[in-house]
Amino acid sequence: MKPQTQEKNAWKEWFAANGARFLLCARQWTRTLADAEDVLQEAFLRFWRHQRHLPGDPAALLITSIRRAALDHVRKETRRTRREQATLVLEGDPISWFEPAPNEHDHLLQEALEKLPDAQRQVVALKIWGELTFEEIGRQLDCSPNTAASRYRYALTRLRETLSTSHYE
Amino acid sequence: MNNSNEFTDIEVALRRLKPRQPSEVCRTHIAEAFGTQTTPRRFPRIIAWGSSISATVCATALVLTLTIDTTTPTPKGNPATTAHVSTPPITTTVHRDTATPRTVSSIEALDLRKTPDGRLFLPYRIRYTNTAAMPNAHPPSNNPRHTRDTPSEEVHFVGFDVI
Repeated sequence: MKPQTQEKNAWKEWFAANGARFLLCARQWTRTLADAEDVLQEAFLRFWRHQRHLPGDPAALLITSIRRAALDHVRKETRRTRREQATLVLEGDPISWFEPAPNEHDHLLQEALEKLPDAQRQVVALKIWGELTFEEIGRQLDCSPNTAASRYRYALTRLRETLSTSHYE
Repeated sequence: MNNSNEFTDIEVALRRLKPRQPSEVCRTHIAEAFGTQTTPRRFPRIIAWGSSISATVCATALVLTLTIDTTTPTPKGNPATTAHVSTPPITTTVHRDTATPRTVSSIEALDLRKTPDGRLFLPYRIRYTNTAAMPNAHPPSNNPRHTRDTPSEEVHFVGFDVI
């Protein structure tokens, strides 16, 4: 395969390996799966064409691009007030963010994720699947790294409690 | 801030969850933007005749045609004019995912057309409602919350040879 063709197709392998987790991140800031895919598509194109050779963590760059695309998407798609537009409301079934759970425990974990407050769930998604540091998460969510870490701790504590409670029911 | 000792079990469990892959539509759009194709869809897909729809429409078109005065004078000595449906040309294309089920909303016959060489065509418009299940609906259901309807339409032609 010619080097140009290899370069041209390189995105496919990268996207196949990483697309799912970044789609999950995009879901944190969009209402529906369709919106998330639109946002992911726009952000990925921008990232691959202009940003992937920049210094810094590629994941952080792409997630920044995703969040900006999501905000632009909200502004274009809605006529809400400025205050409402600043709040990216998540709708839809978070369980559908994942492949069907192979066992009851994982299914319960998916349900528990749904019950987390948005702020905590976003941190968990960016930490686990976005693989960002708390400092990077803080930049994404406009909060301090300590706040991001606190939300993360609260979220995981809550998930553990929910799973423990379900286990004994 | 090291949480690995305190929450390792939950983190391991979370990492076991597999995020949904982006849909094939998403990949195709990206591929088109890069100028590469994941599936051979560079050209609009030709919609072949559905046998049941074409039969219905042909029958309808035939009835309409036989009742329409085309203003073409009947040749002398040949009072009987018969029209039959020639092989219909395939026209108009819709670029869509054939996996999306669709229902016919309406069929509308348009004005009869005549080509310079005297052939008659009856265009007709078929309007569809495409029902796409949200990819993450699990299990698949008819819950409106998990489906999305989008309209589409196609214009086809039925050709006639007057003999």
